[in-house]
Amino acid sequence: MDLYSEYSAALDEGRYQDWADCFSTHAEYRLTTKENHERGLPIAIIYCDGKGMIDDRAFTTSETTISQPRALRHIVSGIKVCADGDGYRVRADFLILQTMLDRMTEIVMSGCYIDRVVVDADRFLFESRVCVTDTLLYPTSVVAPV
Amino acid sequence: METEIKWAKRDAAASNAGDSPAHDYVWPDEGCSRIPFWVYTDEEIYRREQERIFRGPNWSYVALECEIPNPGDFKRSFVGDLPIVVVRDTDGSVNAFSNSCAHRGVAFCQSEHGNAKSFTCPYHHWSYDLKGNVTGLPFRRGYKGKGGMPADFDLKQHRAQPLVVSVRNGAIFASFDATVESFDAYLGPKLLTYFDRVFDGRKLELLGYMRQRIDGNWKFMFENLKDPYHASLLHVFFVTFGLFRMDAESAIEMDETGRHGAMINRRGGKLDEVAAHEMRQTLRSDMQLKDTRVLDLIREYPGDVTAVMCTIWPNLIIQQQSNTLAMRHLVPRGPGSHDLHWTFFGYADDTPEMRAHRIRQANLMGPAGFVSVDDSEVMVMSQEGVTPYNDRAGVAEMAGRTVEDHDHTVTEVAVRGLYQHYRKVMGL
Repeated sequence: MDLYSEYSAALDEGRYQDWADCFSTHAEYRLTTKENHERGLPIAIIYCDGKGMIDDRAFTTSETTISQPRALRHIVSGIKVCADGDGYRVRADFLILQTMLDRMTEIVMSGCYIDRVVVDADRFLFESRVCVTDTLLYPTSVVAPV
Repeated sequence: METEIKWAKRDAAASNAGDSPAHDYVWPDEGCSRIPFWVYTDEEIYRREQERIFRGPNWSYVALECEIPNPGDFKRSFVGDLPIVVVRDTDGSVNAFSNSCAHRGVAFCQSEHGNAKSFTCPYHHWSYDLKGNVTGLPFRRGYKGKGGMPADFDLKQHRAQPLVVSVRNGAIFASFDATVESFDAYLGPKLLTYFDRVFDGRKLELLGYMRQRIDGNWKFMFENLKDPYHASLLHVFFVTFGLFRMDAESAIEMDETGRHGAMINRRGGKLDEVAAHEMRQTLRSDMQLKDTRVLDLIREYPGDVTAVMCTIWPNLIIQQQSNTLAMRHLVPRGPGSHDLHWTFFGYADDTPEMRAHRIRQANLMGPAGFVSVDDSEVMVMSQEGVTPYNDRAGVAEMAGRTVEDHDHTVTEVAVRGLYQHYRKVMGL
């Protein structure tokens, strides 16, 4: 649970390196649509294969992306956990809300996380997180990881 | 001494409160180096664009062949904002017709893709073959002698509006106007060469989709790909890693009409001092990637060009940046908004390594792309700025005021080329 709340808080507060540190060394992170996922199409809106790419995504998100200012908020619910060998298979639903200047708060996307969580020393980490969005048409851009 | 800038007077539309007054669509005297902001905001201009451009004699991109490989395979698509269906017929040819029932207009195809022997409108069950012909409808002869269609009702007089189709090396284009010239003539020899560079006859593999709605006029997206000058300033990622930089050997080329364009670039070598000074706000010397695989360039085309972005009028951008390939399909959604549908692909004979690399490198592009986020965000800012000031005009004078090819990218010449053509088509 701590992992899930820390993950959302890191993103919502723009602490992208803390977001990256929720992943294990060889972790995979993908953001894709339900359409790609169900049809087995491999392209992902964000695709990180290893912690190096996850760290790079954290850096570019805060340092090189030019975007309009906004507040993002992750609402995560319906967490379902299954023990799986030395780790856990977890699914959870998410909703992301966005608040921008001169705009009402709006929904950016909804979807579900398909995760594998492992224990590393004293904390839980994502070994794999695949974010599958119901949303097929993203509003403007996806300025941060999900 | 400070020069006084004279703003154009707000026209009648602003003072004539109440009704919708006739707008004076007077293009600024400076010609194609000025872009009046009402082209991005005006409903009447938008309506005329749909009529003259998207229903006019132009080839619009609608699909890739690899999306509909088998007879009966179909895909929903768009020409302008008009929904259509693209279908592989039983004889292997490709058909396109409006996704609007001949009866009462229902958009009868509601699946993104699929395989069908026929289509049936859910409302009154008018059915269609794979060519869009109406093949039947229930109660045509009435029931127990009552009702039914008139005796002279001729099925053949009713069908989903057809489009003419042209397929070239795996890419499918369509037009509502059957008088459209051949696809080769439409592209012109120069652009055809760039088209065939990526679509060289090899079988393609569909890698997947990304879609976004950008609250900015659809022409902003075209301008963006015709304006390489912004890339050296807006895109920190590109500039820092030398993927696209104004000091690299590059060019901007157009077809004879100026409607299509190609932005051609090579990766930058050692950074030139003068260029570095101009781009100083963009360059990040402190930036290093931990995993540089996303930048890898696997040579796959002849020559040393590393990126060619083609803008194919009126709705397509062909993206070849390093090893990431995509069709960016523009769907206008009113004057202030458009959808961008990205179809990523590779070649069916790619090695597993190349395929994995294309997927990894796709991080550069799309709604979350290291580079493309900047563009979509700026387009919204553009719309926010032009809408309330639509009595003003934009300036496109970088590298002159005329239209010709340039062997560098410090230019807005292709933006001028676009508007030179646009004015002609739109009668402005």
